[in-house]
Amino acid sequence: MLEDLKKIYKQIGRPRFISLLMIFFVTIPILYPIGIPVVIEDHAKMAFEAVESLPPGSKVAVSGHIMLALWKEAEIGTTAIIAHLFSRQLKIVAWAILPEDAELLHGVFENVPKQDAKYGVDYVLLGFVPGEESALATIASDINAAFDTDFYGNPINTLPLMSEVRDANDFSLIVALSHAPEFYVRQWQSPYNIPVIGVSTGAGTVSYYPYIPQQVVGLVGGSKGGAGYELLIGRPGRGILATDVLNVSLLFLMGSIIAGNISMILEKRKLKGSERK
Amino acid sequence: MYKIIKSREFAVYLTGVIGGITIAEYYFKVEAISIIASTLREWAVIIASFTMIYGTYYLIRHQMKLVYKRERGKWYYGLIMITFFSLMFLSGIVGESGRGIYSFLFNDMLAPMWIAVYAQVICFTASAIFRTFRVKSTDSLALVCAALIVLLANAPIGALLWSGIPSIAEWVNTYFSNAGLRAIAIGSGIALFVLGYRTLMGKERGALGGV
Repeated sequence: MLEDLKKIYKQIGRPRFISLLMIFFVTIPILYPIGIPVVIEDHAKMAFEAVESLPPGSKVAVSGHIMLALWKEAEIGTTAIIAHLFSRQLKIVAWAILPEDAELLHGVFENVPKQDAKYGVDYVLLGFVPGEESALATIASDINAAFDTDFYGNPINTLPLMSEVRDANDFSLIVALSHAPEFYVRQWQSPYNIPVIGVSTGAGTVSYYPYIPQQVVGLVGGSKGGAGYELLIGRPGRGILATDVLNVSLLFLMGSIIAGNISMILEKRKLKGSERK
Repeated sequence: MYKIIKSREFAVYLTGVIGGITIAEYYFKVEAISIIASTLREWAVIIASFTMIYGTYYLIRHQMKLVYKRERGKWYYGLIMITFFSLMFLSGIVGESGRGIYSFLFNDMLAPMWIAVYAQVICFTASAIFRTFRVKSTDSLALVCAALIVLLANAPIGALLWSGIPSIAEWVNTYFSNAGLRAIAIGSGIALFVLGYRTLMGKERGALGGV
């Protein structure tokens, strides 16, 4: 086995060998889930408490602002939070400020349990509006100015929920699926005092830390945060599998650091030995 | 009239007036200013839509040039790009949002491919980590220790291995990371204010596109 590995290593070179090892180790928990216990993060608990504190019937905005390439990791937290919003009988108005997020949010709404929520009455998906931060500013000041129809082509004046919302003041919370919390802090939290909950990938959580806990009242970061949120709402799902993969991949990276240093020490010893000779 | 509109002064004055109205709306609750500022924001969304059309036009034009000139090693990529762009465009125009051929192309082709390309970055990361995170000095020792702490803190298993790891990570985040990030946020806010002031006063030419 070791000889075979050495042969493969010599044939394909170190970078490809490490990549192959990485793929092999990451595949194991996907095929055979390990079930390593998940520790729920404090920021995810804060997000959960923020949603729990809203009375039923409150309106929550959901803004899609995550790149397609990063979606699979953010989807875990997004699905968990939207399921929680439905279970608390909160009304949801969702939109996207990146083109791909409209279709992605549609997929989430299709698959999440809606607890008898009706489209148009309890939740609406408005679709994509260009302009990113200027779009957020427009929506915050007058939502009807930004949208004529929803994602499915229905005029928004035919949707009962849209007659109840006009601007940011009608919302109790905004869920930002984003790596740029400063947009939401500048356009929603600061002028209108709407609390922000962030949903991002693991790498994107760092951008939220300066704003927690004043402007951003909770954060569901990456698959780890998403898995914790799934446990909080009592619906363990893809997040638990993803944390197994996350554990294995991060342990592999730690192993790479340790192996790299051992390799360096062995190379130095070999060099010293050959110099003495 | 055309000379006036094309002049740099017109662009500067227009920028200043629009910027001034938007800023005034934030500080003064006057009905007329709110209506004008709201209209300007709607126009910003419409202009953003046109920039997407403009960007798409230039992208297609560039790719068609590659195909027309049969640029070696590139023209077939241009052909693939134009083909799939046309397919997605037509399926979006003809089909319905959230279902049908567009939904299939987006969810079952585009999304998995895009995610797979991005996911392969971890393989390069693992190889790069093996080569670069080596302890050769005190600074590199600090870097390696920080990397190991961050990796353990981000791995859910870290908290299970030792209960002190989340506390250490929290301490590093709160007193080092947060301090630095907040300083950067404040600094960039001040820089943004200065840039905005210079743009509104017409001292910054870059925003005017070299007019």
